Amino acid sequence: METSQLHIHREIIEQCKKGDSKAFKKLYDLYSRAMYSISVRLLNDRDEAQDVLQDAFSAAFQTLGEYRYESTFGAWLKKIVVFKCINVLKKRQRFLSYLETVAGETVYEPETDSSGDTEMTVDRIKQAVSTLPEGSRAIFSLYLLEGYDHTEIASIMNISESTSKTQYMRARNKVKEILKDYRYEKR
Amino acid sequence: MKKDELEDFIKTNRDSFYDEVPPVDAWENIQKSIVKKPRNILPVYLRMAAAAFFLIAVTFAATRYFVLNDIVRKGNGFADRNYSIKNEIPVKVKQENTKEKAQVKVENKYVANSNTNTTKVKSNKKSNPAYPDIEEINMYYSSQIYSRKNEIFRYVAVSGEINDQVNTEINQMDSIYRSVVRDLKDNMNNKEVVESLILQYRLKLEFLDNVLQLIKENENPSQKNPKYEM
Repeated sequence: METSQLHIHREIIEQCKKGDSKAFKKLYDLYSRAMYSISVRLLNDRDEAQDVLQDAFSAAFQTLGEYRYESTFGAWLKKIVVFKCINVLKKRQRFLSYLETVAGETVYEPETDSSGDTEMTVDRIKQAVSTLPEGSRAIFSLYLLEGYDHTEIASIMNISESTSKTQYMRARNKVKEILKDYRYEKR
Repeated sequence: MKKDELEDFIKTNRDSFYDEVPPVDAWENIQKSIVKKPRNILPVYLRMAAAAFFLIAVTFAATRYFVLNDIVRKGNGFADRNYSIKNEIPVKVKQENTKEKAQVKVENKYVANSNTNTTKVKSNKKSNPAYPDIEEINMYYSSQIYSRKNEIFRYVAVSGEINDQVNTEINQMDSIYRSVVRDLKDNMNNKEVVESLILQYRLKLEFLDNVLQLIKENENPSQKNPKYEM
């Protein structure tokens, strides 16, 4: 029962494994938006995001025979997309840029929530996230939107777990600040 | 742990963060890359079966080729086999035969020409370093055949017909012998070839013994060979 719920597109995937071109299109239609959104968010560049999307789907379709339903298809595909995006970021510059240390900041405890002062919309948050340095932006997106934990993020980005945690907190605070500034600017 | 409004907002409106629409040509490019790799369409087990079938076919063909070749070579060889089947004498053997007859007639000594055998012994000397015993075998059987031939020729000196028949038979046997010698060159360490050589010698000797026996019986029909009585 659980397995069938996890693999809701199993039938389409099996058709793809048999080489059914219509099934490929179905699978693309189901996942392309989500994957493209992840790419745009991580890369901040639509052309590069399209390249990653194409590469990721091509790679996924060509290695579909190796997919054994150990995770959901979406999670499997997302991992391919994320890895490709991180590679693109690393190609841009050898070391990803992160938010710098703020004096007296606590690493593990969340800061006092002051978000009540902010006016939150999806577009504003997107805008605020896009201003973050690429390393911090990736960690923020992977943790809060893609649902990876810090251990997984550390492994994907080849950083320590504590760096991932610190950078996430800094990124979150920065987004809040930007949203607050936006509110004040509006006034 | 304090609740974070930003985190809550994002978690609640998560789907809204996945609203980017990819360009239309993205799918076209992906489609092109899928068409390039049709090999994945063929199931793995089918590919394995095809590979297994190919291996079996190659093994079968190779075995057939080598085994058949071996059989042909162990026989008389194509050229030799042709004339032995048709009971014909090859030109070379015919020449030797004529030479032999002429020599017997001219010299009138009723001594068999052993040219053929000596040549063979020489060729064996060259070709069989792996079998030092083969020289001994050659020497022994050659001398035996030589003495039998001489004996026969002494008895049948008066009858040229019997002489010719014996020579023809011996020459045919020699052609078989030659093919065995050829095999010996190719397979110096092959026990079967050496055994086949010895068999050829024995057959020749047996044939000569039989001829001799028949001649003796014809000469003295009353006399019986005590060898066979025992």
